[in-house]
Amino acid sequence: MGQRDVVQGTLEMMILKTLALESLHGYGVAMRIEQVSQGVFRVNPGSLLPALARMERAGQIKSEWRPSENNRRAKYYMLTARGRKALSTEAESWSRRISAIARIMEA
Amino acid sequence: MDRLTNVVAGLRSLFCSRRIESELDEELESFIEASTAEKISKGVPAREAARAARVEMASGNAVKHRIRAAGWEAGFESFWKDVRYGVRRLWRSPGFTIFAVLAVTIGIGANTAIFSIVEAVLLRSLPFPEPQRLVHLTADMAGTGIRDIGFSLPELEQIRAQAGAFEDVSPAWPMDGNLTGTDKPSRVEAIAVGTSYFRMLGTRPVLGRLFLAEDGIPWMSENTVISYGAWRRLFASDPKILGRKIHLDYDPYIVVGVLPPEFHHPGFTLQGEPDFFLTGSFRGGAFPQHPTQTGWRMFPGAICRLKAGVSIEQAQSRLEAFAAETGRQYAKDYPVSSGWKPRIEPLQQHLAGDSRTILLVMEGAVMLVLLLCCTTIANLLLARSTVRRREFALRTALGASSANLIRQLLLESSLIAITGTAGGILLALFLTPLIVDSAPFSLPHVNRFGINGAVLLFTLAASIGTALVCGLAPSFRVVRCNTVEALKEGGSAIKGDSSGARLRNMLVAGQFAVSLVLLIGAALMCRTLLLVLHVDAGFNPHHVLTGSIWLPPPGDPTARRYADPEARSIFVRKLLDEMKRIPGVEAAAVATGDAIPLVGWNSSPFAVEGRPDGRGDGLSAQMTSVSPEYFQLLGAHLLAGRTFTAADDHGLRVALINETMANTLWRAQNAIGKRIRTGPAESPQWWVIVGIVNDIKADGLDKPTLPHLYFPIYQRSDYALSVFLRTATRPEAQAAALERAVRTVDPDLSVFAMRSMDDVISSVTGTKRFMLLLLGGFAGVAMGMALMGVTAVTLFAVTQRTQEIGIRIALGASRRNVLALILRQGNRLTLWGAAAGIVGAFLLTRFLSSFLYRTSPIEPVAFVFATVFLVGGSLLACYFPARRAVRMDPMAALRKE
Repeated sequence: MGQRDVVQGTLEMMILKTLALESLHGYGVAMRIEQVSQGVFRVNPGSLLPALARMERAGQIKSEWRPSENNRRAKYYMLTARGRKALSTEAESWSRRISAIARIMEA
Repeated sequence: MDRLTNVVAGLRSLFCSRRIESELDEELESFIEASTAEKISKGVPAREAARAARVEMASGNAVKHRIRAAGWEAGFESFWKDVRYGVRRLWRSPGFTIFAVLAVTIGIGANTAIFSIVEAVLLRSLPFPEPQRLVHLTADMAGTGIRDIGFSLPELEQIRAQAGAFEDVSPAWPMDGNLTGTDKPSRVEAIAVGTSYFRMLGTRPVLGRLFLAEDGIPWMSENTVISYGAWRRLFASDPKILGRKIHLDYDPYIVVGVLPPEFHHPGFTLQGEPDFFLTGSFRGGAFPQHPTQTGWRMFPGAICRLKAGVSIEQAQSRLEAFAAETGRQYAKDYPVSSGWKPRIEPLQQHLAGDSRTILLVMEGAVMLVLLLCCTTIANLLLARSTVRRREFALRTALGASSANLIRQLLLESSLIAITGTAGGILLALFLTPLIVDSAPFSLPHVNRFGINGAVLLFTLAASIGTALVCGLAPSFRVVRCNTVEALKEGGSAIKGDSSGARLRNMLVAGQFAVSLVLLIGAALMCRTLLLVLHVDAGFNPHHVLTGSIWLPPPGDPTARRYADPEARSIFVRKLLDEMKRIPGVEAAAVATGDAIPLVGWNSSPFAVEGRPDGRGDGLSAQMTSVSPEYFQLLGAHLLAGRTFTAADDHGLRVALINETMANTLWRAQNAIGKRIRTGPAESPQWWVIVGIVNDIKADGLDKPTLPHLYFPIYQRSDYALSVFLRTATRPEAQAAALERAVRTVDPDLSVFAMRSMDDVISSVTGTKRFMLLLLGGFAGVAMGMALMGVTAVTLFAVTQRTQEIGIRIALGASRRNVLALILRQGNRLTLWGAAAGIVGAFLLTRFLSSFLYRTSPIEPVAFVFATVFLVGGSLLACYFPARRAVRMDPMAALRKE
């Protein structure tokens, strides 16, 4: 399945991006990242859940218990205003870094 | 706002941890379920899907742990967990914990107690405005080597006016007197000060006023200010005290003010706190008028305030310039050879006086005690940490960092330190007043003693030091400990630890050395005290009550009731009659004030009739006048001749001498009938020796007996009298009756300093008992620590060599062999320590010489006794852990590895 691990320091950015579209529970986030990356990234719950807890404490996301698809309670995460701001700055710095790396690799 | 959310979330997870826990579980569970459902929908069989989902999660606990670590409260939580773990561990070894806490309690308690005294006496500034400008002024005769000669008033006035060093100078002249004009006459302490005294000290009265410049009238003012204590004790806190008329030694005074309770005179007094403050110009009357009349220097010293901006050194050099100028001006009165020199020292330093050195020595000693306690605890923790090596290795393997382990160890030692410190502060609350009251040296009470912020700060520092010293030593081991090595089979052989072991052994040996020095010191003091208490004092002290009476000579000559010797004799006879009439009194005697045995008195010169001047001159003896009942009452025996009778008054002047005087002056010749002379040759008084009595110790039990002359009180009396009662029951119970007897004869007189002769004996042996208590206490603590230390080392060795011992026993070593093997190490330490201690004691005990009596500082008995005691204790201390090794089941020991 190729590259499985998430590039270091990008997990939180990817979570932010994922949650920017809609609120999801923990597994939903993992699934979405895996699907969108077409299976390149698989997010382990051991990293995902602590990251969500960290971000919640940092005020970037907030959570809410809602009934899930299979009629159980699940903790849904959604972006806060601060999270949106964090996403835009992270995305900007990410694209700057990626184009820098691309320039190096093409030179 | 977000920070608030964070705080709230943190608090919530701290206080609703169970709810948070179940939410976490639920989240993980729903994650796994979603994952399983997803896998099943992709066609994976249900059981496999569930398994795969759980594998993805790996350890649910680890995930939960990492989720929790996201919050700030996580550190707090894990700290709390460590605390609970530490408490549990300490709880599980109560013997160690109780010992360690007790050791810290003693160490911290002693330090806090001594430091609270050091702080009040040496560190805290005096409770007066700008205390650094207050100095004590005295004067020396450098030429003749006499110190503290005191001042005459003209000298003080000249110094104030001309030396250019002081803003203010107030003489201080402690005195005592007979207070009358109250409900009950009593003996009080007074002090004469300058009119500026209270202004200089910034004191405000609680009632009335303090001294004003107008009080500086010729001779002395009638106005007196009384202390708060005197107001309560003598006048029952009478709110209408102002204007009250009282008499001191028949001189009238009027109370004009009451001092606040916290005021204490910052200087020396006769015995306690001054009750009455007197003032005046001190001119006229008996006082000299002119600076050249320096003969009467009646002020022992003065309290002065330096001019603003003048340092002590500047003031001292200005005083020296002033002294030189005075010497030039009045060359006759201040000859260069006398070297008259006023001298100042900071008031605080003056007040601390000799207690400074003693306090610093004691502070050093208690710090040493605390250090001993800490090293012992560290040693025990080290021994324990060896036993816990596997636990630490396991925790390291499970991901604990060295920092985690060190934190755990420091936490355990902190728990011990905190508990011990709490106990120590309680102990100090009890110890401080005990030391202040029982110290045989005087401590200034100007600052209140107590445990205040500064003392607590010191205690806190000592406590943190304790926790660090105790906890860091085992921590170093943990850091050096190799995980793999420790976990490996048979990895109990400690490698690369020989330097640690050597340090530990040296510590224990050092503790033995220190304890032995202290033990030898205590043994020397103990022997001294026993010898002193067995000295034949020459009298029977039991059931004897003594007291003092002062027949006051007032300033006004017409008011003198007892100026005539005959009046005094009549008083003595009347008093004896009254005293004998008290029920339960077996005998009564009256003597001059210096007749109380053991208290000490100066000798006066006399001459022997018919001796050539060369030999007759320079003789001196202690001289006491006594009533005829004195010798029989004290249980002294007459060795030759006769004793006094009531008829020895106007007729022939007679005298008794003690055995020492008879032996030194006449040897084999009979002294009886010899005549001696007192007073100057121009107006001699001749006395015939009529009897010889046995030696009665006059100067303390451990002092040599000096020649002593006794005169009949009706032939030679004094204003200062002492009274004696031999009672059938407890002597103190007759105090009130004795007071009544005195007042029956003269209602204006009081008896003071009443105490039993047994009390006199305990007070003259007070310093020795205090030294014994001090050395004994320190020796006890030091020895306790040393014994625990050697126990720890032995225990350590036993644990370390379990396998070896098992093999030895399995191979047939006898229990005795094993015991000897284990004891050898402890004994080697003991012997090294004892040897060092003996050498140390040889060097150090000489500093005790001045406290010892008929005991050499290198008294072999004390050395042998102390050494045997210590070595015996150490054998016992090693024996218990060694027995554990001996009783070991060899199979179990081998299996353990």
